[in-house]
Amino acid sequence: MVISKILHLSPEEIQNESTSDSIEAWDSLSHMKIILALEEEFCIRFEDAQIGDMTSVSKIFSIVESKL
Amino acid sequence: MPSFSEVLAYKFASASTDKIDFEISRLRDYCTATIRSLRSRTDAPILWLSFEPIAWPSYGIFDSVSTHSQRDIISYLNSFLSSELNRAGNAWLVDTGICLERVGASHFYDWRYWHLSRAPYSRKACAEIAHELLKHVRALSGRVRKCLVLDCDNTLWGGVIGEDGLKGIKIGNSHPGIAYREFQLAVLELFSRGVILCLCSKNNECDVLEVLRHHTEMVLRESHFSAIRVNWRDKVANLREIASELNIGLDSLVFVDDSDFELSLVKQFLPDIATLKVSRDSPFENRLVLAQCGLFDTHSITKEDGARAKMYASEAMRKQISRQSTNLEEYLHTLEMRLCVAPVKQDDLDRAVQLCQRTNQFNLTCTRYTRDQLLSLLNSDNALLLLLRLSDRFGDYGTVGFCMIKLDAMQAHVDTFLISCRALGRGAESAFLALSIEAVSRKNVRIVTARYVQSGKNSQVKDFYTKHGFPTVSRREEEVNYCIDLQALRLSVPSHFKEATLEY
Repeated sequence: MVISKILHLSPEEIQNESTSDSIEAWDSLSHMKIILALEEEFCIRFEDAQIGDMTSVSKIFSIVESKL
Repeated sequence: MPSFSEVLAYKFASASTDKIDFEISRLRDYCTATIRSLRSRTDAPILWLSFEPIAWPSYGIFDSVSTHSQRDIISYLNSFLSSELNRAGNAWLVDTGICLERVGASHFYDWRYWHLSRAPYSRKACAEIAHELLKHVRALSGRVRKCLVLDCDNTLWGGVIGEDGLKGIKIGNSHPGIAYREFQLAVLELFSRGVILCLCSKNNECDVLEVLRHHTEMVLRESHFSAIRVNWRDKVANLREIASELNIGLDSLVFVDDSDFELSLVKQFLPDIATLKVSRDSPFENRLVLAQCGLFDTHSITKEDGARAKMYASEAMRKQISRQSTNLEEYLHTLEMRLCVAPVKQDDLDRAVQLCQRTNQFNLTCTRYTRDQLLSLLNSDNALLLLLRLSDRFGDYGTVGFCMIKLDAMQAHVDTFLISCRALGRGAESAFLALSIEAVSRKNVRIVTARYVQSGKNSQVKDFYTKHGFPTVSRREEEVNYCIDLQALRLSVPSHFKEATLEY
């Protein structure tokens, strides 16, 4: 939900396999917005390396889960 | 700063003096070239974010005593930038340093974003910078508030005067009254800048007046307030009345209260009024609510501003006399008004710009000239820029009117004609027009043209030129054009003015 809202896409348009390369709206600015929004939503703080690794929806899931 | 200069931000101690000097001149050239190039393409306002101060200088505690201080170089660059922007006109430096101080450098940056995307600011920093930009934009678009309307109980003082009494309310130099005293001091700061003060509260009027007159710890007194509405009617009606009594729009008001009920009522029925909530539970924050809002911020503060709030207060005395006089003409005579019309000089330019930007009601065309535009007109021979000053036996109104007449051979066109609302209802507009046209008549002018452009707020002046004998030559939906032979104009200064001079 957080990701689709920021990319202005419906949740159906985003799959687990979606990556920053497969979705056009997922540019560097959106990437930052997604990170900020996730940090706020789940009250977590990502490490530098994790931010760089969050290039697909599935990776985001696993990184967020590891933080909760 | 890091994105702008690696040398100044990261290599300051390792770089040679030559290298640093070269870097400074590179940044100066960059600023100058960018500002010039922007200005050559557009007259639009320029807002430039300043270089942020360096919170952790390379030389540590030595930096502040060094003759070659990293932090001094940043402030030098900022003052250079500020003077370049000033030279370009209609351009301002937005102080990111002050944003950094408010947020604190430890919370201002998020280095992860800096490393990933070259975006150094944290969310908090972005919000603070955005708010600072908003203040500039508000000032540029003329949406500046003029009047602060205050609640009493739990706003000006802690507690309820009707229940706690004069000795029971909290106001003074020690806890807990000090929070309210500091809030009042912040209000007084705004008053001194020219913000008009009013009271709007649900109390018995005599209780509140007793506090204003006799409580020894009060900072604000009766004489600071231009309108007082202390009664049990609803605040929406009272606020409407305050605006019409002061002759200002609802969109000039800021309303402060501690009650969510009152605030949401005002928000719902008078959405043009800005509202601020003060806290009953943490009153120590209330001073900052006022200091942070920026709703009254402008790019220039003239001496008229400083005196404005006082002038509104003396207006109350005039009103008393007005009740004693039997008719308006007699009343106007008793005021012993003096007016003076004189060309705009370099020193008055800011006031002329301010009048153009802010006057809504008595403004025939509402063209919002910028300082630069007026300056170039002032320096040309094709325009006459006049200011009206007014005073009476109660005090000086200051500079209250501006008129700009464009000259083209034997034709004069009244391009701008406006009068500040605080000077209305006294015949000053007729006198100002008469003297302005007299100034023009010394220029070998034969024909006078004028124009009314409807703006939404200036309908009270739609017949102004007609009443003064100008025949209509064309009329479109929002615009009326007038033209008359100068010889045919019969204008005069109304007889109730004790003195009317044209310094031209």
